[in-house]
Amino acid sequence: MNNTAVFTSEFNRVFKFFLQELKPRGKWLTPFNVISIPIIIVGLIILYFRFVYGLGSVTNLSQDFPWGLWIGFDVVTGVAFAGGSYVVTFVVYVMRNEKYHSIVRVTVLNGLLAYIFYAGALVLDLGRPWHIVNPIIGNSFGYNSVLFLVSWHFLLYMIAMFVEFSPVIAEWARLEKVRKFLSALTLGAVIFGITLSILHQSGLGALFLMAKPKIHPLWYSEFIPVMFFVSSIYAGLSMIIFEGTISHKVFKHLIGEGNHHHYDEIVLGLAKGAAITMFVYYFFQALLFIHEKRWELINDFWGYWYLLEVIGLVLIPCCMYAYAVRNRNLGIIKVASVLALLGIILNRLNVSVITFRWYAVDHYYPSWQEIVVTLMVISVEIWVLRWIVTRMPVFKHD
Amino acid sequence: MDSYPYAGFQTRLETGAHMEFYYYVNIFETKGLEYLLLLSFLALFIVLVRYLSVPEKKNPVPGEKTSTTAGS
Repeated sequence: MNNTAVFTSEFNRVFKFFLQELKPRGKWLTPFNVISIPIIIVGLIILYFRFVYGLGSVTNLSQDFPWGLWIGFDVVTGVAFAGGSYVVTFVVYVMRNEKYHSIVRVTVLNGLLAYIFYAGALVLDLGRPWHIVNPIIGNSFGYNSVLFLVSWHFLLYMIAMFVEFSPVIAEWARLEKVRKFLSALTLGAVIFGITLSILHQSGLGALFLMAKPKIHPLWYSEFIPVMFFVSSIYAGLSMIIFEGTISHKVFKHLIGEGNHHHYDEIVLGLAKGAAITMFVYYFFQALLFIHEKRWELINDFWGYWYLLEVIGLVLIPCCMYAYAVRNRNLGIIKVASVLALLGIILNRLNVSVITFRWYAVDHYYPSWQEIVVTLMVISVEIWVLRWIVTRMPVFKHD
Repeated sequence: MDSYPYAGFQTRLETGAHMEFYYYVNIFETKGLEYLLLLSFLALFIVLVRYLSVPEKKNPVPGEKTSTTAGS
């Protein structure tokens, strides 16, 4: 048999295998399906109106408030939550810490999907969505714009994460030679990806540097990029703990008993990393508080709001993580991860939406359509994640 | 009409002129406090790391294969 014939037969085998894998598995009538299917259907209808009649037909965005929930939550917060991917790959591949090997695949998958869906949500918020390709194809590159950096980094990082995850796909399709080739690319993709991550996590913060008069002084500083980067580390770690807790219940049958025991040690290690990073972040906040003389602004609603974020959702979860690691209490770690994630949501929304033009008489509030579309994006991501996890060797390998 | 509570910016809103404002920042004004904060941070950081350094509990399960890295 010549090479062409071998290739054709192999291609046919993979194609048939893929078609077979597309068929649904398991029960249809699950609580998640019952909730998510109507959300997805309504979300798709809203998106039809958004693309046919424009942003104004379904959102409360205006010239004064051009960025709303879709940017503030889906893009800015979602990308911070995906930070766990670069942290874990750094620890495993660069620091050579074998302890976290078993969570690399699922973490990279979560990161990849988060970027595809949350960064992809950027398209929804563009008045002319077809212009999304401009920074890539060179139709007015806009070198001086932070968005130029962010858009290129998103694209390259998604490719890097796909390369990191691709050996799993090859293993699933039983393409051994391809898997070996792709595995050889992993370390390079990881290093490239970490570099990109550090730059675009901070780049997302840099987007707000030009909005100095519009962001409340308690949240604005020249160090927003540094703060975004540092907080993305513990955001990612907290997200891994949170998602891992759910995954270990929902996909229990896919995870070996040994991995369940091993997972407790992994969670304690992640919590330790999160505690240290949160402590550093809190120190940076304290430094900014003094440097910018923020005590002058602390005695009003925004001041209390700021304290809620920095003390209630950074310092307290940091202490909870530390206490829980010391006492090996996984329950407290899970609660701390939720608080830390709420802190990240609040911080990103404060910078991008809530305190944006806080002095304006008319404020922006997301419309119900914006909220439904956000829930739709999350639901579709979970559907895709579930499809991949139940088919590909993400938790376990042959 | 917006009501921006900080001095300086109000002028731009009233006149409509698009003028760049700057604020003189004395970076040394709070330096003493910042150094004190830094020193206390370093001391507390050592305490935190020592507090978190608890020995790992070994709990191996024989015959169980753990999953591998994405790339291997």
